[in-house]
Amino acid sequence: MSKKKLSAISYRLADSHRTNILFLFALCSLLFALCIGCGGPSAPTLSSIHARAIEYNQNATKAAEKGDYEKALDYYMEALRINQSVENTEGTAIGLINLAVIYQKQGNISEAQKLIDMVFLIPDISEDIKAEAAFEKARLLLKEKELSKAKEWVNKSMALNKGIREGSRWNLLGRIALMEDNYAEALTAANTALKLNSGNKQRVEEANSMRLIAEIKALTDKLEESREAYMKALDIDKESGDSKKIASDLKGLGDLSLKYGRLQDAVTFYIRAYTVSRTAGDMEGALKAAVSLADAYRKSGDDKKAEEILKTNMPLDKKK
Amino acid sequence: MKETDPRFVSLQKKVILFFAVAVIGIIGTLIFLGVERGAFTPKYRIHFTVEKGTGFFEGMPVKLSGFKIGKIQTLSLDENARVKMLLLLDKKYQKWIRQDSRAMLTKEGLIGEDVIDVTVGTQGKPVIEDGAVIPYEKSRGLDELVEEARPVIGEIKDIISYINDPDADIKQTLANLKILSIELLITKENIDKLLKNTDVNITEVASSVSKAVKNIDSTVTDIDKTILNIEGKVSPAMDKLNKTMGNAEEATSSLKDAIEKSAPRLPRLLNMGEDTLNETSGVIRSLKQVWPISSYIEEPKDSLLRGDSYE
Repeated sequence: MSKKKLSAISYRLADSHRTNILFLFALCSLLFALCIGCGGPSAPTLSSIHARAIEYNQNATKAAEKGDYEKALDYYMEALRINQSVENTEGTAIGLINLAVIYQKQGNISEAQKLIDMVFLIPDISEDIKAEAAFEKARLLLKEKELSKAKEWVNKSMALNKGIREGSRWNLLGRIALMEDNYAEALTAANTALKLNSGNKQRVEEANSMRLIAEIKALTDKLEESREAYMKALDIDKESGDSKKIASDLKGLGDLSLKYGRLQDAVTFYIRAYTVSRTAGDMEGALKAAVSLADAYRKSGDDKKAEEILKTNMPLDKKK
Repeated sequence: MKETDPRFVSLQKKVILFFAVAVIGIIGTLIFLGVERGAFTPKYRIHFTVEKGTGFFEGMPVKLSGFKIGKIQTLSLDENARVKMLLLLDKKYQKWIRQDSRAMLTKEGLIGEDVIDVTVGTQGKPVIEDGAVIPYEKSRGLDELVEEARPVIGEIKDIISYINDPDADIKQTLANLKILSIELLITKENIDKLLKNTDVNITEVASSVSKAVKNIDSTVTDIDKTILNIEGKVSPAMDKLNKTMGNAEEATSSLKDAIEKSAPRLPRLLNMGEDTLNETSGVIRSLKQVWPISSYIEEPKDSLLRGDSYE
């Protein structure tokens, strides 16, 4: 190979080496620029007082999830106090709604009503929060069996903001219609709710829609359809791990079996419901399942067993 | 061949100018960095010797009133296997480092870095010259202070348990005093009764008085006995109490001494620790805002408990 050729090859090699270095340098510069350019502070951070209120709120939510409602109330109260002290209207409204939900869980409906009414006096809060407060108001009215007013507030809630929670509003409308014995309207509402909840991936509310459909179908003597809906609800509730609802689905299936004379199936479902409630510490649910189980035994002619179950589970009445 | 393309006319000059500017820039930067790092600042050296080189390292900062004035240049073993520290200090601070200045190893905060702290010398004393020795003072750590306080705490514990012991003289003396006060109360009640009956019957009074006097006599005899009894017990108890007080005084003075020695450092250490923690939180908070970490951290917000349509 001539000297000239060798020199040409070495020049080409050196050139490609230079290109690589330049490419690497450009890449590093780009990365550096990215880091510097994007490394600036993000959106304005929360002040320490707001952060403290949020911390109380989140601790309260955790306590509520664990079922420690007293602790949850204490934390929500503190969060509310802090938010009021800095006139954080959204935080105050959220605090009032949260407190109302906890009071409702504790059965203190009048206190919950007072707090929810206060939300509507707060200016400059988002439609989403107002819609949630209206929904809460409707739930409280339903508990008080004031069906027409409850319906009115559900509609207000939907008018304020539909969003991904629209399905829950339709579920509540369905329940109201069911309590009014208007099965057709109830079923329409439940089906609308199911479609919305399924689309919005609101699994808990989807199970609620299914359970509602199952109840309506059971009342309209559609055994298989009801059973199918209960099973679907049960699947979703198991996925969510909600013991109360699992027990409710099982008891519904038991009631359905009992209605159609399938006594053995009814006994099995009631025993399952009883076990779930008892192990989850839900004494009220356990007692209901035990009473239904005794009823199933009685209907199958085993009065002795029925009495034995009632006798064993009477202490639960005091514990609930 | 003459260059005709106007773009390449005097290209050589341009290239030379470009390189000259770059070289000047590099030299300027080096000079600037040198000035910043104190490379051109006049220096002088002093040294001290310690038993062990644990905790020291080359380049360790030397500080005067919290300002960095130099560093440890070298560590070396001398002929007696002791560690010689050579400090390289800025000449401009020499005026503060005098014969009574001391060097000591301290920590900046509870978890801060180790530094050599040099104390400011008295104005009238001569300055420490280049190559001279600065006295080294061993600083005591928290562990040593705790060790020093341990026997004192033990003594206090003994004193407290002695005072609390129900069989000890102090408790017994207190019990005897209680009995004495009860007996005195009874005597007072007797006297009260006598005074009430004085106007009923002089004879009765006389006889009562004589009885009361007898009672008083016997009570007084009892009191005498009790007092003698107490005196007999109180004297050794007082001796022991005196000893206890002596021990306590001694313990207190040791404790006071230990606290006096450590006290000036403790608040500083605690403050520094707090500052360090605050700074760390600040750093973490800032880090949380930096991309890409910030994109993984969700801004905390109030969570709304949403009601369930089935409940």
